[in-house]
Parts: sequence; structure tokens; C-alpha cells
Amino acid sequence: MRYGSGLVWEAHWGRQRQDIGAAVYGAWATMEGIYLRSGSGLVLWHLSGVDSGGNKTDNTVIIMLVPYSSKVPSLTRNLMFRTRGLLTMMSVKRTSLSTNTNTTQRSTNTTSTNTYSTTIPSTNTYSTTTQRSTNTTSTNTYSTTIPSTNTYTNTTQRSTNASNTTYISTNSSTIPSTNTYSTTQRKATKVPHVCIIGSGPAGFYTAQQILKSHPSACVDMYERLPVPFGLVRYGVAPDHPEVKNCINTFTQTARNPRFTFLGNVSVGPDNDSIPLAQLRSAYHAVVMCYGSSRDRTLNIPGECLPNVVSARRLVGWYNGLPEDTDLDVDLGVESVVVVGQGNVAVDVARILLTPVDALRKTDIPEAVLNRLSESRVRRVTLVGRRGPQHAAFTIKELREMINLPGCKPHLNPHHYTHLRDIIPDLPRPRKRLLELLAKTGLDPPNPKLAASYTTAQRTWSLSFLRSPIQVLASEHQGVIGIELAINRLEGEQGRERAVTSTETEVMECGLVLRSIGYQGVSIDPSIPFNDNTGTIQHIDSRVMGMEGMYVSGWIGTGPVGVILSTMTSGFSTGKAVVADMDRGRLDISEDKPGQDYIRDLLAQNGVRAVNFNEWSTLNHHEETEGARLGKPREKVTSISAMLKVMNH
Amino acid sequence: MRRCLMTTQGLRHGDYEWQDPKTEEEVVNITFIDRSGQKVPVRGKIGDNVLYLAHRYGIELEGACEASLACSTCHVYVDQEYCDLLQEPLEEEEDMLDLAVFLKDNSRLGCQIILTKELNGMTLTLPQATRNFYVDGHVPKPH
Repeated sequence: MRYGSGLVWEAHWGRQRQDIGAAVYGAWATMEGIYLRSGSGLVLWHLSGVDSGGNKTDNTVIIMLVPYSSKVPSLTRNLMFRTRGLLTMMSVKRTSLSTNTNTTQRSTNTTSTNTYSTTIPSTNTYSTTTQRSTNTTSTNTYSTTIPSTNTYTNTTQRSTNASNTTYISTNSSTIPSTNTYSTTQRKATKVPHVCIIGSGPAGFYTAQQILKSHPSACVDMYERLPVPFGLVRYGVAPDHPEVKNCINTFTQTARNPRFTFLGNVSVGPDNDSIPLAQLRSAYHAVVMCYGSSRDRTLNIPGECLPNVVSARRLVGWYNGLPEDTDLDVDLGVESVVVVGQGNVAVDVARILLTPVDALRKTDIPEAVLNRLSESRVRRVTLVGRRGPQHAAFTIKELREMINLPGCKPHLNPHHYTHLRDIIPDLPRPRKRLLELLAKTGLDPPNPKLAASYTTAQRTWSLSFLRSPIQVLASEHQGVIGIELAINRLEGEQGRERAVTSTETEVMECGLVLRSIGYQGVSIDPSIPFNDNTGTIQHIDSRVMGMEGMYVSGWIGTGPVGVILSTMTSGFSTGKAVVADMDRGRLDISEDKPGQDYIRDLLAQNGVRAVNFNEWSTLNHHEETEGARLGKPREKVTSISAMLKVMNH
Repeated sequence: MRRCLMTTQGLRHGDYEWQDPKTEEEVVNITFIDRSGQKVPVRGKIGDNVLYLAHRYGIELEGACEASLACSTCHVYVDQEYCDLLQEPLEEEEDMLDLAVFLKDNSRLGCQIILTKELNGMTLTLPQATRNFYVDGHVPKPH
């Protein structure tokens, strides 16, 4: 909607966005029909103006104090209510692109119009952990003129003071007032602000690249949990600690003065989450690095039975992921079927089959070790739809299974005889993997392994050309087996499809683990999302049709590949972001408030953001506890307990 | 870009590579060809780990697992004539190389190459950066 030749203002709040009116003489917004988020304290609205030519010309911050009012229903963190009559103090700022004389980053000089108003001095002081301050001075000629100062910063829940509010109506006339919104971190003008959603390897490698290749860009990383590193902490197998060494590099990135970690903050449509639209208005670029948070399902009868468990959740459980701490899995069974033959399937099989004493020196939480020590699991079978030549696990993981102490492979030689015919024509990685598989399936083990196998109490096996049809249960809902359809392969060699026949077989087991891949989810309806692949549609990391939006890692590529692929993805995305800034494809000419704005929303929502130093405190705590137990760390497995440690 | 984090971990994580050669006899000159094809001559010394030497001179070689043979982010191509002068790769290195992109016969992990005098003159080429690949080069199809 455009109004004559003036400016049109667009407000973003909650999940909504609305034109808030025409600019009178090209400058002032009228406030008809605007809905605002409730809460008391300082509220910053970041507005982008659109001129009659459709170009973004302006950058606007409205600063207002909104009281909790008796007229507003109580509670109300996310309550929306009408502006008129409730809006307390408002200043609209207009900074023209060409004449912007701001000398500090994140500073906005505001001129506003307030007609009749009662103004009450208001001083709100919020507790802070990083140094940021906002000074708001509003001068209203037409009434009492009172300077009001709001000092605030971050992370801790802010106190709100409803009595210190000022009621001003929004009828516009032309009385200048000045609001200065600045920080104590004085930096050069026009600092690009980049928001990264997700703190796994994709996020950190993207941040690393941006910080390295741009001299002044600030990177703020948002993470749902109070702790960083995503799947490096919660996905990498606990008996592969060397893979987690990349945390050292990530920590160096996090120590960069231009980097900020905001943990315990979720992004999305839920209550208390920051809507994507808010991030987009606060930042020049938003990079989505939140990975694939859901797992694919089999969609077969019996999948909801008690002991049919997602391998993803089992991984979360033995890695101490808060949401999976109370996973209901009964390990008092002898036989386990894992549906899937990727590295996650091998990881869960290996953890279930490794003698628990060997796991005690990993960072598996004590509570989980106790459960594992009572495990009666003796046999684990990994079931795949296609043949051994299509297995998705990699050679290191296979080798570990072959050499697992107290455990031997139980492989049917008939599955492997054909491999030696096709091996010579394969590329090296497949060739080496299948050679090892064929050797294990067909040849007698070497003397050392043979000796180890004779005393082995546990076994693992692979089952091919099988697709689950249903999980079978006893009358008491206990899993007793899984019915599998027998498949045949069709199509050209190397690209065969599994085709299900009518023939079936039943495999006895007491626990079914589903490990058939992960899937990303969309966090906002505006994102072009491919529901089939569970990825965000993009071209060279740039989200299709959304300026300033990027993807990195699994949410763009799909949940495949090792840390190398995620690193490559992160670096490419980082380079794309910086290239777009340098070449003008990304508009960084207007000032954007970055985290300052978001922190204020968090304060309204009562969300306590966690910074990287607080993570370090927790990290130290975990390592100290771990040292006491003779392990690298003892993870804190609940969010409340994490925050408690951080508060100390 | 100092690897300040590593300083407490003795000489094994890159500190050694930050020491200049003490004598000319120690010097091992090598050349990196970076991902854009640019030649970067580097004056290393006997005993230097190629990964950490690359870090010192700002060559884009990541080394995510810090030379513990758990990733392939320091993949390089070694001059054919120098390949034979290197120690045979361990099985673990071979396993990780299988996950590298654009694997060739002369592929090695930089973190497993320790400079000796006879490697003087060696050229190490970084693979081209790429995206959307699969580890074994195959193109996935829905099945």
C-alpha cells in the first residue's frame, strides 16, 4: 500500500506485518490500527520505509514504553492490543540514506511528533551482563519536557516497571523530540549485522568464514538450547571424542569480539520464540543453520508401540540431550532390530553392544550408563531395503563393528558372494568399503579376531533387501518382532531401486530402532520449503525469493554427509554472504540494530539469553564433574540445571 | 591468526610450527597451491606438520579434528614425485581419505605429512572447494 509520494511504514510484530500508514510530508507515520505486543519497559520497533518508487529508503525505530494496564488482560506475554490509548511514548525516527550522519554503530537519532501528552520521567534500569545502554531523551514542546533514561542490556530477565510509563497519544503534528539509541560499544558506521540461527558446525563454520572475510561484520548466533555446538555435542558418538575437536576452533570463533552467542533463545512461531520476521528486520542477513531436527518415520502399523524408538532420540539420550533424557526405552530385551544402515544405525548398534565398562570413559551421562549396565541386549540386526553394495555406513564405522570387543559379526555369506564381481569397477571409497564387507562375510577372520570372536557374548548382523511392514506386539504391547517384506532390486547397476514383493518374513526382537534419516522443518511460513526433502529451497545458499536470507548445512543440503561437507557448506554460505555485501546484492546501507532489538523482545517474553561466557562456566563445571568420575565431562542434562550452574 | 588455544597443549598442536628454523640445514621449502590456484611458497623446517604449517601461513586448510584422523578436512594432493618419499598412509588415514572430495591417487591428509629434508621443493595442492557432493561421488535417487 502506498500513499501518494510519501513514505509508507511497515511494522513487524509477532508473526504479523502491516503497513502502518502513510507518511505525512514523507516523514511521519500515522498509527491507525497498529497492534503492538504488550509488555512494559522499552520496546524498539524497527521499521523499514518504502518510497513511492518501491525502494527501501529508511530506517526507523520507534521507542515506546508500554505499561501493563488494568485494561489489558493480565498475564499476556504475547498479547497483542490496540495502540490507541495504550501507547505510552512514541518517537518515530527517520534517517535518510544519503544524509545519515550517525557516527556510532547501532545509533539512531530520532525526531518525533507528539501532540498532547503527559510526560512522566521514567527510568528503567535492567540488570546486565554485557555493556549496552540506550539513552532515550524525548523532548516534547507541547507539554512537560522530561528526559527519560533507559539503561538495559541483556541476558537476565528484566524488571519491568509499569508505573514509570508515559502516556502519549499518537496524533501527529510537528514537535521534534530526540531519541538516541546507542551502545557503549562504539564502532565504525554501517556495520553489517548477520544473524545465524543454530550453533552446530554449519553455524560456526559460516560464522568463521564471515568474520574472517569481512572486516567489520558482527555475527550473532541464536541457539535454542543454553549450550552451543549442536550435533557435535549431541550427535557425534560419545566414543568418537576426536571428532569433537572442532569445538576448539568453534570456541576461538566465539571469542571473536564481533561474535555473540545467544543461547536459550528459540526462533519460530511458538510462544516465547523470536519470529523470523523480527530477525529479518533487525539484521542485514539471516543465515539458517538449524539442521534437520526431525526424523523420518516408517509409517507402518505398530510404529507407536512403546519399544519402537527413534534412533535419533536414542542418540540424544546417550548424549545427554535434555529433551531425550527421559526417553522410554526398555533394554531388558535380547534382540534389537535397527531399521536403516547408515552411520547413525551403526552408532546406536555399537553403543548397545560395547561393554559398558568401555563406555564409562566416554561422556555418556552416569544415569544412562546405569541403564546400559542393566541392558540384556545380545543381538543387533541392521536392516536395509537394498543390498550390501548400497549400505550407507562408512568404512571407519564398519571397521569398529568388526573389531568391537566381546562382539562378533554374524553375516550370511550368500549376501556377499556377488560383491567381488562388482568391486573392481567401483570408485575407491565404495571399493574399500565393500572389500572389507566381503572379507568379513566370506573369509575366515584373522587369528587375533578369531580368538576374540570365540569368547564373544554378543553379535551383530546385517539384513538386506527387507522393508518393514509392521511391528508385532504381544497383548501387553511389548514388541515381539517385526514383519519385513522381501525386496528385489530393479534398475541399472548402481542406481537400483528396491521393489517390495508380496513375500514376507518375521524377525523376532524386543526393541525396534528407527534410523532411516532425518528431516528438516520450516520455522516460518514465508520460507520456501520443500516438504519432500525437508530442506529450504535455495540457489547457492541464497534462499529463493527472500533477500538477505541464507542457508547453511543440513537445512539446505539435506541430512547427509560428514563434518567435511558441513564445513564446505558453511564456508560457501559465509562467502556468499560477504560477496553479497561487497557487491551490493545485499543492502547494508541502512543501520540495523541487530541483537539490541532482539534482546528487548526477549526481555518482554521473559526469556533469559545465555552468553558464551556462561557456557564456559557450565563447560568448566561439566569437566570438573567428569574429572571426578574419570571421564572427559559429566553433562548437565536438564535446561533448568544448566541455567542454575550458569547463575552461580 | 594465532592458534592461542593450543598453547597449553605442548608442542603437538601447532606451537612447533610457529618456531622459525634455527639453521639453514633445518629449512624445508615447500609450495602450497591454494583453492584459487595461487602458489604460496612456505619456508618450513624439519619436523613441521603440514597442517599446522599451513595454519601459520594462512593457507585454508581446516583440520577440524586436529590431526586425530577423524576427518578429511586437511586433504591435499602431493606431487607425484614426492608421494613415494612420504610414509605409507595408515589404515585410518586411508579410511578418512575415502570421505574426501575429489579423491586422487596422490591424495593425502596434510596432518599426516611431517616435513623431512628430502621433501624440500614439494608442492601441495588444495582440492577445489565444492558443494552439494556426496562422499563417494554417487548421485542419490529416491528409492
